[in-house]
Amino acid sequence: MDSQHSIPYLLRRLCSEMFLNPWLTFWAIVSILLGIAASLAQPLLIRSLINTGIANGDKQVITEMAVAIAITALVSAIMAYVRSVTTQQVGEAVTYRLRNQVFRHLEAMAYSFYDTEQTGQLLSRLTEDIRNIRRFYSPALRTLIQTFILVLGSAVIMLRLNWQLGLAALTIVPLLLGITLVFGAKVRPLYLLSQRQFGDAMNVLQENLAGMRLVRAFGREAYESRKFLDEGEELYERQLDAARLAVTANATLPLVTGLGTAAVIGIGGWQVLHHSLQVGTLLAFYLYMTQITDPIRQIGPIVTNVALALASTERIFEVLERKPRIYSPPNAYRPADVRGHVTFDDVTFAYRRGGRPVLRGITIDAPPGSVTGLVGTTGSGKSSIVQLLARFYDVRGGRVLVDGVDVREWDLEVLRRNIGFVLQETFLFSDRIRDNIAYGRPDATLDEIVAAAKAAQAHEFISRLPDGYDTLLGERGVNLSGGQKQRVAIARALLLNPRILVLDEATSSVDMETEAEIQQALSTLMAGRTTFIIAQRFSSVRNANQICVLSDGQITERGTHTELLLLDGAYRQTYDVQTRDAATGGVA
Amino acid sequence: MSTATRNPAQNPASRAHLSLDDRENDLGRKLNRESALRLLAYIKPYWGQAALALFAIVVQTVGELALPRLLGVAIDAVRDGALGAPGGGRKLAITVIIFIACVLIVFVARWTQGYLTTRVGTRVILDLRCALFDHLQVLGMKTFDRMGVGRLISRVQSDVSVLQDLITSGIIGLFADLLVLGGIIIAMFTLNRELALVCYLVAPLMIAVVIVWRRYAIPVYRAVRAANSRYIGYSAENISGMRVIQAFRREAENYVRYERLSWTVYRESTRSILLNSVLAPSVEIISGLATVIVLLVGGNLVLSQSLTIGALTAFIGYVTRFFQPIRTLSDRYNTIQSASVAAERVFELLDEPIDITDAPDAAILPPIAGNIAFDHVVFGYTDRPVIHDLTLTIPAGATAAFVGATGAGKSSIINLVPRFYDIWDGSLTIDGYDIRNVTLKSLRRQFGIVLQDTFLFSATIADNIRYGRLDATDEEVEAAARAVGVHDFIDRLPERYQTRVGERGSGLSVGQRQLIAFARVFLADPRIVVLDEATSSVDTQTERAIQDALRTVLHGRTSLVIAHRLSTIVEADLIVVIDAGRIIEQGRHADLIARRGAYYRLYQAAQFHDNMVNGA
Repeated sequence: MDSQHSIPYLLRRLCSEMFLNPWLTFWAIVSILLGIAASLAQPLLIRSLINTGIANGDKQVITEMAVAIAITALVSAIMAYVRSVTTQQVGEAVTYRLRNQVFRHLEAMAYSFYDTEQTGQLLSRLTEDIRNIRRFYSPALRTLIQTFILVLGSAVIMLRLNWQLGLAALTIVPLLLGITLVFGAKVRPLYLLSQRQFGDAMNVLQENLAGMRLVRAFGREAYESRKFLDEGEELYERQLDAARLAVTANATLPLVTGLGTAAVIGIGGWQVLHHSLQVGTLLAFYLYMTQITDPIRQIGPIVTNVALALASTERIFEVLERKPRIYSPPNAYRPADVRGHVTFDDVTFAYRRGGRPVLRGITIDAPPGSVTGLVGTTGSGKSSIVQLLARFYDVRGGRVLVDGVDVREWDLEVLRRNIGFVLQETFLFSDRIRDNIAYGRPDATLDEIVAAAKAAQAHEFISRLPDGYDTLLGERGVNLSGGQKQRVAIARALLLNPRILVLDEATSSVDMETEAEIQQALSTLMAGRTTFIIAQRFSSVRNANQICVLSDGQITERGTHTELLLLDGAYRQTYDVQTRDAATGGVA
Repeated sequence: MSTATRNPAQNPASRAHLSLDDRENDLGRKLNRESALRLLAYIKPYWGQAALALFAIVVQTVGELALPRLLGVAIDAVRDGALGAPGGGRKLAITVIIFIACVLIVFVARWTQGYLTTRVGTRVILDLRCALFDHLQVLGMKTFDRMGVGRLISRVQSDVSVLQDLITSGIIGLFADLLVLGGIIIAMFTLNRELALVCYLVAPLMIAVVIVWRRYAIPVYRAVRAANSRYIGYSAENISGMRVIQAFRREAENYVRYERLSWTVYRESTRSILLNSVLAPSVEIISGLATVIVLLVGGNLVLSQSLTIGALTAFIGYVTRFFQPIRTLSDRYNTIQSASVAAERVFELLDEPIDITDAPDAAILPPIAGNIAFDHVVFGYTDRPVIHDLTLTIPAGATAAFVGATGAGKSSIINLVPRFYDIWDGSLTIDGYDIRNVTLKSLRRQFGIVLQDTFLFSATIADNIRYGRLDATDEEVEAAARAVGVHDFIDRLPERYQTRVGERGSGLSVGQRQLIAFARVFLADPRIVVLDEATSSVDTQTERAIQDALRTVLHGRTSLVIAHRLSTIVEADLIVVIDAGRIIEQGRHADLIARRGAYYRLYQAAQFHDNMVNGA
């Protein structure tokens, strides 16, 4: 994760992205240059109109200059349009490519990546960071280039017209630049503080709403209101701190321009009185000063924009430069027929390189069609075993074989197509129910989907939903209960028709009656498949061909239910606790 | 909460709610007068500051508009002086001094108005947020069920923030813009009538551009927003479901769908760029046109001696300035648009009626023994009852365990007793007091509650336990922790009772969180305990600790428990088996087992439920 890039490198990367759209970039530059030329010409034309036209009473010159001004206004407007369109388009095109690249990359990252990254953080790569980068091109880069050329051009013209007056006018440039940059740098941490305080206040709200029943039951409404008000007052203070500085900067910038203008009027006026300057030129100076003030004032916010864009680019590269660790090897094994013989051969595994191993010396042989139960406390490594099977992680030592071939030699696509998962937390997508059932096989017909749902005991409740199989799930649709979700997941696995099946705590989040129904659906699902059952509940593993008892990453006992009872070990102890429960009605 | 409330599409009444909330997406509405007036009412307490801010804006505008005129005066003075008129230098000096004075006044006025508008705006927003927060404290649980916590948060968080933009940049900005426009119109008119009138000729052109632009812009912006929200929704779902996607190898398929949404965003943004780039250049052309008119007509007026060159200069200054407010119009328009939707949502929530309140003649419930009696109770969330004709008596001090399938109505029953919802029919009494005839405060004070998903606030452990009784001393907090057997654990933490627990009590195990919640109830010492047992599995040691703590907490109190633990059920004084909103069996464990009915069957299934624990 330590992919620190230098600022010049990031800037170069952002700029080189731009040249992937050479024509857009070309027209953007042309329109910026022509637009500035037109803007610079206007005060000069007005000056000529006054100095030669009006001063000499020459109507011909007045008309000519007026036409020329009209032309520059037209050119300037057309260029403004082209500039606005092309620079924004560059941003859109670059970010379109970038976000697709990021998504593609996220799809290729293995489970270990998602173990350490948070969903919200990754999502903000695709939303906020992308938006920041778009703003780098327009307005940030555009404004920077424009301001630089405009100020430079104005300076050259003013100095050539009248160098004394030019120097007086140009004193405002470093002042404006200094103020906007200094205030910008000072305001930013204050904004951060107020942002953080905003987060704190909203946290109070979020907790209050989430714990509303508790608040009501303990009669703490007034206390909560007080708490929220206190956080709010604090937020108010922080916001005012930032505002005071921002408002000062906002008022000081026009003050500088105003005083500069006063100086130019004073000096210029004196020169006019002494015949060393004409009034038209004085007006031109006034117009140039107004023209450069606004762009310079924007530099402060623009610098913030650029800083944000660079930070965002860095964050996106951090993601893009993480190498996907798990992919199919060249000439991968792609058998036409999979039998489903699973072998774990002295497997060692740790989530991090050099980290504490969560599995040690695991050896399991599961012949085709057999049922293997994996039991043990939370954290004993049960779930890790099946994740190695589907190669969501790679082993650190030993081998996992399917049909005698190391999973690392299998084609990932083929391997995973032959393994079906039913997990404790069923993740359903905001899509129609039928799409969720057909998730593993998008080409399935409705008949196939219904058949799978029937076998999973889900058909009945789905038929009762308002739109049947077309019912939309998720935020804008229907929420299913835990048991219903579980049956959809079973139907999903059934439709996939995998050779190997993994049931990871498939029934632990449903109540007793629902479990009975699901058990029935599960036995249909398991028929004829190599099955791994991970369970804390007893009933589901009793009939397994073999049960492995895991403790701290190792298999401590193995055998059938009866064998394990005879062994008189940990399995037996737990079994006794349960039977004593049933007899006396208590653990103690 | 039963499945009935979670499945809004199952009945027509809640569908109506859904469509009501769907209106949120309609962004094309105007800020209606009612919302605007209500917002004004929030500004009223700060009218002094608000008035001063408006006054400062007027001063700022007048000062700013004086500057081009002063430039004109200076130019006339020096031109006349150059042609030999006396006192040119003095006039120039005076004009420059007045110019500087104006610049300074503008500085003060700008600072004042900027600061005061932010101050009032921020304050009003704080007041509005607090009003919403207070209202949420008294709203019935129905609103929470219907809207969901996420949506409520976004009302208080984002919608109110949008209103802040409306006050500081929308309304105030619009006021300032209109003032500048009006000021320039007057300034030009007083300078020279004919030239001013010629200039006004271009104004209708500008208005036409803005009207046409608006008509095309609204649908385009709406399309961009819609494309964006679909894109973000799909991205979010895919990232959080990435493990499932990989398990079902949907990467290629989902990328195609993602790419399509991403392309739609690109296409719609591109269309909006073509449109959003129109306004500024149009303004530039029209303002250029106005400048040319001023120079042509004004130039000839100067030649015919009916206009001074200084006045012409001032005109040029005004014309350039005239079109700036029009340029910002599109931004203001967007701000006001989104603010009007936000205002409506905020006030809609504030208007949400409080459905559960004290009766006008409500008595104060004295300390109770805790006899709870349901008498032919009927209850439902929407139009369909979920509890039918329920009659049940729980004697003081007894533990009643409710068992049954998800959606049977267990949660609904226990939620009725602290009056989180009102019953439809029948009566619900505690020690003979109808709970609707006593004050909510005196009723709920006698309750303790433990939720299934143990809730801890981001505060210290001591604060979390003390939530049960705010005035408890440190010794009492510790005694409560000892009583439920969590003291030893807390004592081993680096900062003991002052250890901060994070959001949702992260950093603690499920079992530890439950024990802290028990300590909280124990400290509050309520007469009635409502408990929704957690289903999550914990190891044997913790399980025993929890069972012990449970006995301590429930001892001597009337308790209503949604039980998942076999031990809790078996030890209960009264087991109530619920099915489809009705009691199908009730009695003690031994009796119900002997009856070999529904409970017996459930119990047999449940025997296999307890944790399979290795090395216990």
